[in-house]
Amino acid sequence: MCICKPILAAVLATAGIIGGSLLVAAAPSVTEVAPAAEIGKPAPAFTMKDTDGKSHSLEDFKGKIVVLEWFCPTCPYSGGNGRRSIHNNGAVKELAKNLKAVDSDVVYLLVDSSTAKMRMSADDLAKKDAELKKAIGIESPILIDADTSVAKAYGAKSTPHMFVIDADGILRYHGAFSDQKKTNYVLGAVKSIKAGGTVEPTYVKQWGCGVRYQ
Amino acid sequence: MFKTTARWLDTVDSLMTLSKPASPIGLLLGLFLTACACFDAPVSAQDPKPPSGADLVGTSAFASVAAVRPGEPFQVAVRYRMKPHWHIYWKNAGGSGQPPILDLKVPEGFVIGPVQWPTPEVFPGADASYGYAGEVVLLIPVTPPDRLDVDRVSFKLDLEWLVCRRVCLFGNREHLIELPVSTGAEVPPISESHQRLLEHWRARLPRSIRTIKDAGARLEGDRLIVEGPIESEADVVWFYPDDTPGVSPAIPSPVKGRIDAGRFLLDVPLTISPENALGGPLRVAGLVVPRKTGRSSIMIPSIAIELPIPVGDAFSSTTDQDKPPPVRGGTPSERR
Repeated sequence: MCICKPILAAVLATAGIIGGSLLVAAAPSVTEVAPAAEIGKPAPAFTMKDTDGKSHSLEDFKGKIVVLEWFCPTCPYSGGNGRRSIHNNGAVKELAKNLKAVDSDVVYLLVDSSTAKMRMSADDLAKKDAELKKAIGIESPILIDADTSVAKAYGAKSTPHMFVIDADGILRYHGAFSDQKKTNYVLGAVKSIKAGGTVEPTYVKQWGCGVRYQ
Repeated sequence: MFKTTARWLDTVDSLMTLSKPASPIGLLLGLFLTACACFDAPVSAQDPKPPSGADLVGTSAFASVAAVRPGEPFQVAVRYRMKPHWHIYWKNAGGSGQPPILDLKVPEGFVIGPVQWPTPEVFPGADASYGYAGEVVLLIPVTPPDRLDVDRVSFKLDLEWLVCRRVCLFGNREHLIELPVSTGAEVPPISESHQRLLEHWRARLPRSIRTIKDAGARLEGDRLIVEGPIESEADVVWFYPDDTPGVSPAIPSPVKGRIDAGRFLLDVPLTISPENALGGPLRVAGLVVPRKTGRSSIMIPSIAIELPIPVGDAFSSTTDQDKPPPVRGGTPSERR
């Protein structure tokens, strides 16, 4: 299936060149977006294995605030080893420290839905993530979303795309990790939840590399 | 499963950049390699040496004038040339991505305006992204002070960009532009190639809806309505939203509008969340982009709209008094 489309495109391109005519390419299709998790509603349940094969379910963490960070090992904002990577430039470590000061029970999980994007099996992706986890010192479990169903259920669009779930399993914030300057929206959301207040903002447009669904 | 190597990508890219193939053998080779590389082939984890973002995007910068004259505005043009199939982003990257950063350092007294962004393309994904493949020229308006007591001025430009195909990479580069200062009556022209580039990309800048007769944008409840005449062979219009915190147009993006009897009508459902405005005023903004079904290329010019959104009860009210003022095109006399 992968071959047919490019071959057809190449044939059309070749025909266009030979004929000396302008090539008119097909219009880009726009992917339909599955209904995503909603603020104020229960966060979608999940069960995923981490890079060590250990299974994690959202239900396991009932009574605790859960932070999900969508992750990709090759994304320069997320898993890469450049200065913009939040795992390489200290931003996640600083967040973890600050979260701990607010609530020592906060659970921080990474979710990798890159099987389609990287064209890798779940096992190969887990190996790659395990290597990077060790190389740049990621402390949180990296959960492998093998068929990208969890990404679809949450509406995760980029790496990093953050989700904050309260102790009752209700989604309270999703979107950007930070304003890429001083403000970390995840920390703000967790502080508000702990204080029993209203989370504001509940959504800030995410940035980073795209998530590709299967 | 394809495991395309960087070398193969380079080979395919080189072939794709040829305006004419050298021979039928070249054609067949190109066809074969193109098929094998699967057009959207990734830089896979197995690549021996993945390219850097700087390898994938060539950049250059030049001024729209050959000499700076006191008080006379000009533009710094920044040209990005992407390797085939790679793209950089518009000011609103969309569902994912990141707009390029242009950091222009100017001498004291010079004033920089907001970057001018030509109409972008759409890249499908979990939510559409907006950006540029092939080539784009971004323009930075610069206004010199009214008095300049130097013979030459220099501008340092730091560029940083995210370039994506299936995976994304960072690139960065510095440029230095030096210009003489002229107070004389005549300034020599810039090169013809630079002039052509400026004309080409200025024509791709959006037009404000205020400049278009019988066109207008308004809010109806939680919907943005834009309508007006259209003078092209377009048969559909798409709405490319700006990044407006607290105001989210419906997804999947872009929302499409219809064209009938020479007029377009766009109806965009909005989600208004004042708590997510990040302290700024609520507004909706974006481009109405004419398109022809079946063609990937956009039609120009696109139409820029921007409307403030009142907060609180005024938003949900249906009385005329509480409605935000519509934006209309045409001259003041025509508007009356």
